[in-house]
Amino acid sequence: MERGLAYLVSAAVLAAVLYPLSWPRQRDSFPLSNYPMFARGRRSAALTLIYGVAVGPGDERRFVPPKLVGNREVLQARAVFDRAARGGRRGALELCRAIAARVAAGDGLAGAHHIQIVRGRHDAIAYFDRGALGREKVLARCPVGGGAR
Amino acid sequence: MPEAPARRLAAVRVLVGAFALVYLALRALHIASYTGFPEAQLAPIGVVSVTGLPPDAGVIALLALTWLAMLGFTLGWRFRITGPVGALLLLWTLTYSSSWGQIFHTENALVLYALVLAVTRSADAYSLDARHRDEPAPHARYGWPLRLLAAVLVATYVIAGIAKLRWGGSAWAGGDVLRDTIAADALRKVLLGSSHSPLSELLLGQTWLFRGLAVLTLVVELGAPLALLHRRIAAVWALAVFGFHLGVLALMAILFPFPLSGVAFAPLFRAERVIEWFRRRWARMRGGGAAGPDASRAKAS
Repeated sequence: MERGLAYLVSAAVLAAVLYPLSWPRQRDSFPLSNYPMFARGRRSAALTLIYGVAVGPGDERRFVPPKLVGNREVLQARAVFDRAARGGRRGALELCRAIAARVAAGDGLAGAHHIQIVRGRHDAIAYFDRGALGREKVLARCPVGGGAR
Repeated sequence: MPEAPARRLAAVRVLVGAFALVYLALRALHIASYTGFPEAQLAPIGVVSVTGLPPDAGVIALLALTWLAMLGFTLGWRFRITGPVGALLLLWTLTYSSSWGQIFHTENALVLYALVLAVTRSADAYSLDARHRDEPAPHARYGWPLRLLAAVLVATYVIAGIAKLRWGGSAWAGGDVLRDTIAADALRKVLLGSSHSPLSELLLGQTWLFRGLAVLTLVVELGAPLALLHRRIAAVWALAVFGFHLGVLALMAILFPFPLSGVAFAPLFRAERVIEWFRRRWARMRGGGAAGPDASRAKAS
C-alpha cells in the first residue's frame, strides 16, 4: 500500500511539473511553469519598453528607478509600466502622477521638475556600443509637485 | 525502490525549511510591498486565482503565519500539521508575490520541494517530533521522496532547455539569441533605473563566448536527467548548474538563490553530512566532543 502510494504521489507530482510543456509561450504560472524566460527567439537586440524619465534642470534626464514605480523589483516595475500603457493616455498619466507624487515626497530623484512616461524602441547593442538611444514617444507628462499637463 | 536513511530525507527537510525561513525574512518587505499596489495591477495566478486576496492586514498575517509554520516545518514540530500547513502557506505567499503582472521564476523549486516534503516521513529524524524515538532503519519510504525531489529538480531544467529550443529554435545554440537577450536585459535595467552587470557590457562584442555559453546552457539543461544515474554524475551536473547560475548572476545580475545556496541539490547527495557537520561544530563550540549518534560510532571505530 505504501509502495503504491509512493508511485502514485511521484507520478502525480512529475506529471504536474511536466504539464506546462503543453502550454503556449504566453501562458505561465507558479510554481508550475514552462520557464519561458530567456527562451524568446530574438532576431536582434531590439527592445521596446515603457519606462519613466525624470527631467531636471538643464533638461537633465534620469530614468525612474523601480522603488518609485512599485517596489524594488525591476521586472515588477516593467509590469507596472506595461499595465499603465495599456490604459492609454489616462493610464500613463495616472502612473505619471503617482511617480511625481513620490518624487515630490522626497523618495528619490531630487531636483526633477517633471516626469515623463515614455515608450522607447532601442537597439541594445547600439546603446552599449555607442551610447545611442533610439526613438522615444512620450505617452504622458506631469510636473513634480503640481497639476498634471 | 531505493532505500535511504531517515536522516537523509530529514536533512533535506531541515535545509529546505531553513532556506525558506531566511528567504522569507529577507523578502518580507518585498512581499508586503504588494499590499500598496493598486488592485488594477493584480493579475492572480495559481492558487491566488482560486483563493482571491484577503485584506492587506490578512496578507501580512499570512506572511507571518507562513514563517511560523515553516519554523515548525524546519524543526519538525508537530510536522503532521506544520508540514502541510507550512508548505501550503509558502505556496500561497510566494504565488501572491508573483500575482502582480510579473511572475518570478526563482522560487519554483523551493515551493515544489516543500510540498513534497510535507507529505512524506521527512520528520522521522532531526526533528522535535522524533527526539525521544530511536531513528528508524533505512527504508524505501525515505528513499523515494529523495528520488522524486531530484527528478523535480532535473525536470525544471529540462523544461527550461526545451523552452529555449521550442521558441528560440536551433538558432538559440548559435549564441546570437543569448547575446541579444543579455544585451536587451541589460538595457532594460538601464531604462528602468536599475543596475545591470558591467561584465555584460564588456563582453557583448565577444560573439564566440556567447556561442559557447549557449551550447553549455543547453547541455546543462537538457542533460540534467543524467544526474539521476549516479551520484558522481550528479556532482558534476550540480557544479555545472551552480556555474551556470553564477554566470547568470555575473552577466545579467539575476540571482537564483535556491540553487546558489546549494540547497536545491541536497536531494542528490548525502544531505545528512551537512547536518552532522553543523552538529559537530556546535558540540565543539559548546566545549564537548562529537555529539549525537555519530559520536558513539566514531568512538567505536
